[in-house]
Amino acid sequence: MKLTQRRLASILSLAVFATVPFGTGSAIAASKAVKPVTIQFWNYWDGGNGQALSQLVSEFNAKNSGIIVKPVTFPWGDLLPKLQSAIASGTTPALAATDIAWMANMNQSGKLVDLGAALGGVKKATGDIYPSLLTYGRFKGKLQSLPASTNNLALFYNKDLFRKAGLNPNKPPKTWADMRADAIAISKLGNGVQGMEIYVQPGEGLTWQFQPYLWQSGAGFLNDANTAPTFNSTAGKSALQYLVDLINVDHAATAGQWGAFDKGQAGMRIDGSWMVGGYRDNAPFEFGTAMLPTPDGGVHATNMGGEQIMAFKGKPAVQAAAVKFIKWFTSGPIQARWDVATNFMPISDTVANSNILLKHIAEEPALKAFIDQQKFAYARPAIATYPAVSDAFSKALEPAFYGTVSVADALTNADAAVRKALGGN
Amino acid sequence: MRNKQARTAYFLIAPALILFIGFTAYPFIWSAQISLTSWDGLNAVKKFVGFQNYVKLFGDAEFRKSLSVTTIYTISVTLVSTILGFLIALMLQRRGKSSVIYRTIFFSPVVTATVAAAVVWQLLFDPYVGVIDLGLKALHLPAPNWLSDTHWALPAVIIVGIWKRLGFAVIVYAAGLTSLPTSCFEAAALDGVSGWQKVRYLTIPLMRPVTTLVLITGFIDSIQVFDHIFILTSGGPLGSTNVMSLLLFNQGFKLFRLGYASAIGWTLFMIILVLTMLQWQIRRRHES
Repeated sequence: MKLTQRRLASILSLAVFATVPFGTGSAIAASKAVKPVTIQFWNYWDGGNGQALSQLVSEFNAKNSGIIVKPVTFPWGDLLPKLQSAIASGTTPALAATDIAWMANMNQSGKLVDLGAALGGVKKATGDIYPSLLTYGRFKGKLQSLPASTNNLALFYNKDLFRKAGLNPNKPPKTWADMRADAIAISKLGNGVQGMEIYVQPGEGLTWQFQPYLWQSGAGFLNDANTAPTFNSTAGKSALQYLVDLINVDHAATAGQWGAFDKGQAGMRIDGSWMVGGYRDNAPFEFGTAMLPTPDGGVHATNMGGEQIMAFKGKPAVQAAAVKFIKWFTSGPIQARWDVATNFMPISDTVANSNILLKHIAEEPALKAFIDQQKFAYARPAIATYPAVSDAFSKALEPAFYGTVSVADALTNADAAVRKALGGN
Repeated sequence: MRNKQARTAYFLIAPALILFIGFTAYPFIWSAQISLTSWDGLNAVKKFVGFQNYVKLFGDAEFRKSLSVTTIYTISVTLVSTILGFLIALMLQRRGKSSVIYRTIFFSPVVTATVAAAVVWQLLFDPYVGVIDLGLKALHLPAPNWLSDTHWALPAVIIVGIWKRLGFAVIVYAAGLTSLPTSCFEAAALDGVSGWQKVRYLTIPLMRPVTTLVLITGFIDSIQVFDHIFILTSGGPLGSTNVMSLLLFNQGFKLFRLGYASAIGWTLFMIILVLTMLQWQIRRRHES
């Protein structure tokens, strides 16, 4: 019996020993199989937006054991140079989310994955995402990016200053004439208080803020083919004259640095929905929002902003992981939660009609103006020369705000400069 | 033996050499190549355009204005920080041991992160809550909107530049003053030479090598200024503070004109090279 037990023990030991290599082998194989693919996601979402992204990414990583997405956040101004260096040196990340204004140039890099093909066809990849948001990713029959967020510009106003100036804080201006009258009334409070804060620093900021005035007045920016400017018209002049007069005739605004509204030193300013959370938590005053005022006989118009998400070509496993993340991140339920956390606008009807977002909007009334005017949002030209066009345009307009050049001359100069920029000079 | 020594020397300088080749020499040559293209920094194709970017540069009104702004900034910051640095170092020389505290105070801006300092200066220049304007108003003096006024923005960034640069000049002059031969000054004192005459005819001439160093480093440092102007004014208003480094950055990384930006970079480099050589020549002539 003892012997039998010994024999049995020996046989079992041998069996165990003999299976060790196989067991170890399968353990190694298993560890190889589950070794996750780590991918970087470059973006410029900082602060609350960055935290919201990290939270969603953690959730994605937990659900997808084979993938680890690592968000890498750069300041807005640093992301583009980093991407330029990465593309030039062949060290691109797997994923990036960039400003829509950069997409025309990003598309030409030859480094982006065709998401249409990777996601089983454009229709499947895009679902009911608004077509205007898809224009930025289209390049030579391919779809190289998807909208990660969108936003627009509305009017923010300081209810405390409205009260002090004897204005109704629940009645924001609806027309240009109302806005002018309100701005004048507020500027009369003195102590450097501006009625309206206007962005006059050259660059895309000035162009992006001024374009809605052009569109509201009936003027255009570029023609449909994006080959020539159309802003140097009677309507365009009326738009620029309106703002220049607020500064130089009414003295209700100042040509200078941006930031007076944040300090409670300006009655109104135009800004994006992403500012809502910040003002709610930190503004030293009560604020409200409203749709952008329109001129007599004009139309509603605002500017569309946002980010596009893209995958870079690389090793098949890395590329597949990046595409999987994009599919997940642009899906309706995730986008709805993303918008709730960031106050960005919905990219599709599915997101817009989701219960979670509708509830959030009900709780955050300042977002209503942005939601209401999303349908009036114009897309900036998706052309590679747009950054140069915008820069030339803004630099030609800046002197008009300082009163050193007339409105007519500023627009004529802008027209010439934009034509030159469109020609690649 | 000699070969062994050479091998050891090469081995020891190898890390620095590799870093120099990788991070200075190679990008330097690469940027020269890029300056001959119309590359946007992203496109797979780098179209060769010859010297077109350089030709365009000299016909570009924005570049000419930027060159003039850079010149005013560089001369102002270099000269004022050098003169003030020398005077402060002279005063500190007389303070004995307590000068260490003052030297530390004057040097602290040099080691302060420029971006952080610029943010603080932005608050100081603020027309609503800034200490500078509040002080001017208290004295019933006109309080300009420093960073938004086309006449005051450049002086404002020059003030910050001087503040940042001054400490270096003070330290170098202070070190230079301690190494001066005391015998000359003792002899001058016996001859009844006044304090000012000693400075004029002994200290200043003897400090000439130090002055050359402070001027050249100040010049090279100031002509490449970027950080604090980027934070304070971003080159505005109306391009009144748009120095060349800022123009280069905007052209390359905002307007997708990396070829043109590289041409600006090379032009800036040539200007620095020529003017530095000129300064050395002047110094050599003085020495001989």
